[in-house]
Amino acid sequence: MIDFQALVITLALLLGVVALTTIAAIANKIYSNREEDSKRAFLNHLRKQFLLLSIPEEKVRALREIAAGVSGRWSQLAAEEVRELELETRLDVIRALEERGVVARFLKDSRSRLKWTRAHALRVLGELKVPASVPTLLQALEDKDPDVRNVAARSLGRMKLQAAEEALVGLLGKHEQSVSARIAAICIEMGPRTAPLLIRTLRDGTPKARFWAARILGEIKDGRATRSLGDALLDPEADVRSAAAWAIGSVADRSTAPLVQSLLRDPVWFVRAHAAESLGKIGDPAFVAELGAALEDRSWWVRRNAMDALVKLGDPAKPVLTRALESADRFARDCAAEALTTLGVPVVLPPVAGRM
Amino acid sequence: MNAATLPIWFFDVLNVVSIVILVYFAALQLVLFGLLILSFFDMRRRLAQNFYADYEAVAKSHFTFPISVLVPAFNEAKTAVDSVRSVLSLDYPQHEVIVVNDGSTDDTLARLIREFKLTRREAATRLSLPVLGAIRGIYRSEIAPNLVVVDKEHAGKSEALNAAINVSRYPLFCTIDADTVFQENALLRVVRPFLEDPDKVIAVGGQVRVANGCKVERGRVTEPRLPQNVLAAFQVVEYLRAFVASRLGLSAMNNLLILSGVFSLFRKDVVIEVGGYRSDTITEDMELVLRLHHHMRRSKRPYSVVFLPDPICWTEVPQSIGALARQRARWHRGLLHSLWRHRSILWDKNSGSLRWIGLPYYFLFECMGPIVELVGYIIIPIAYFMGFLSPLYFWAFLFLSVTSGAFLSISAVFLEELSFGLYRSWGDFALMIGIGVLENFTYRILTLFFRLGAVLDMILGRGGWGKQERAGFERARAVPANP
Repeated sequence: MIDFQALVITLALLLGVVALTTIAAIANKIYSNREEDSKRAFLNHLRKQFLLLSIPEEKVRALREIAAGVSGRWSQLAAEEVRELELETRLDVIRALEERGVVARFLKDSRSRLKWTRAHALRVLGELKVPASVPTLLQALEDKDPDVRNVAARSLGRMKLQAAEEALVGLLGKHEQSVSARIAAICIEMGPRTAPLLIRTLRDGTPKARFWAARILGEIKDGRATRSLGDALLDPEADVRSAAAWAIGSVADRSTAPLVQSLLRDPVWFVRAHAAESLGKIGDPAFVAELGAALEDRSWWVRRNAMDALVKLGDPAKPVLTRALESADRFARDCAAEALTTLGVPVVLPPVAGRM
Repeated sequence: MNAATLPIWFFDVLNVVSIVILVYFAALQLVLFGLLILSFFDMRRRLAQNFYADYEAVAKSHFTFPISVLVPAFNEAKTAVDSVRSVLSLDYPQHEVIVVNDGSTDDTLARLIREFKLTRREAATRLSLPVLGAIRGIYRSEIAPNLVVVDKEHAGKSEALNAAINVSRYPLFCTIDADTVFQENALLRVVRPFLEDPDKVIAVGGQVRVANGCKVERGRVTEPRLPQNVLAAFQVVEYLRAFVASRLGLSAMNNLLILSGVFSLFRKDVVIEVGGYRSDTITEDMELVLRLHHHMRRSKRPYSVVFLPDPICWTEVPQSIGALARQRARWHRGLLHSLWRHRSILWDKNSGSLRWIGLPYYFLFECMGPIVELVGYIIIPIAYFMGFLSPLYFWAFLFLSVTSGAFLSISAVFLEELSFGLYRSWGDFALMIGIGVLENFTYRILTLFFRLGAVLDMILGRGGWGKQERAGFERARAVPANP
């Protein structure tokens, strides 16, 4: 039999929960509206203090207020505002924050057992661009939690030139894709001064580090890396060969074209694809025949990249493309037609309907 | 009828049915409550991640994966141009937009040609996936270099998507509907799980919101508002409940079987591996996700299908009962069809939690739900009015089904307020709370009949796609806000 008493209790509970949920939702709505108001008021107050910094007799008080703001509940918002200040003013504020122990508190929080407390502290330190926090941020890249590692990488990105390039390059390829990509992005922002370190990593690093070093060198486009990238084309790891082939294309040094061209025969498809792409970027018309042959490669990506490369080469590629129109391979014919059309040569092929 | 004249076994059967229905309802509410709790924690985690995420850096990154956005369009003349413009202007470092005009009989293609200065071009496309319906032409834009329009004979959405996959260049593809508008950083948000774990993540879906009634400017929702149309307003709360309170929880267990075709991002190589979209199914998006789950588990490869709580796009929902009925019947038929096709997951020992959680959940509560609810709504009042059932049980049943439903809906509204708080006016908020209670007497019962119709169609072998009339964003824009 059904236990009616239990049923009534269940119902009462449910009704209670519905009522509580409704009350909670309303309370939350009121709270979030007030939060918005409070945030706005805080920002107005903080900006007023920034203005007061230029008045000598108000400066001490303003710095105290700003420090209180940065260490309060809107710390991140305050830190973002501080970041936008002019360098001299910002350094004044950071000094005040250091003197009042605010920076030390965030450094301590960055070692908290609670992951979001660590993340928050790292984020604020990154926004403030406190030079003393660089070792902490680098250390946080080794944090056990991926979210914290991501925030640390983000903060280092915010600090830009103040980060230690040697330590950053040393961390390449040690972490998951998102963190490695952030570290790589920071290295790219640092520019050519990381090139010697990257060249060394390309020679002696782990396969993942070599891969990232090649990618970054390609983005930096530093001519000093050409020789090392050329050597990396013979790397036993396909990922490294492919990244090196791509990077050489970005550097676009014609002397490397024969080396890249040899990779069109690589057993791994994405190495061949990047080699084809690079030949287009290098722009040496000596290799149009090889690119024409790549239109019949067994990999779609290689064909597609070869087609794009031939389009980039322009007029010298037209005879090869015209010959490819007669190819027994359907895709090679289609590629040739698309490339020639793009180059302004009218092509008549059967309707697309018959080809798909 | 005199109860005394009925045989004893009749009372026994009635009692057993009553208990079964009550146990079913209790189990359903318990499961939904569990999912809500899971959703809450997952939402908290993802919101914290969002708070510390740096989308600006992702947008500028040299290492963000390029994405092909696929837009199948069949008779979408009213919305296609707005939608394509919205996708083209998405904040993302490298993306291409491939619109497939699936043999539209209206002027969808003509409008696209005119608006984007399209010219027909030769194009080399690979045949990664076989496609039904001949390609009539491939167009490129003079003003938007990353726009490709494929004009093909009508063969259905699946074939249009497969054709778009063949034409696409990038390793990730995103499917959207032509009547969708996006948050500016929708792609940046949805790609994040891929950037964090590119080897494991194979598909990501985001939260779809109702566009009706919202203020839309230049392909962007600038002011989310509740629609004045009652049916559409009910759907606002329904979407919140489905996305926030249920899919998030299932996703946390890697058991999410539905990613809305309105906006999902997939790894192309895996989709090609399983043969792309199938046209012999009703809801191709769900069938594909199920096939991906089954394939990855069978081949014992680690993977995840992720649902993000971020509201990333807005879609127009039906505003008339007829259109809603057709849409819901189609969805339910698709659900039944897909689950039936992949029923072998239940006895495939490689399927892991999918055979114990995911599939049973959809079978028992999503598919069987309408039948058990109907039995409950019919048998229990009849039994009550015939005097076989205690009034307490009867009212208890009604209250249980209503209050638990209201609790879930209000919780979903609460979660939305707690997380994104997009509906800013007190009027909209109060209305959503009201709808959360009211829908249990009205809208839920209405959709129950639509879903039952789908079960009947399946039994009778009837089927096909419903047709949705689009108001177009211009009209949606004209709808005034609620007080």
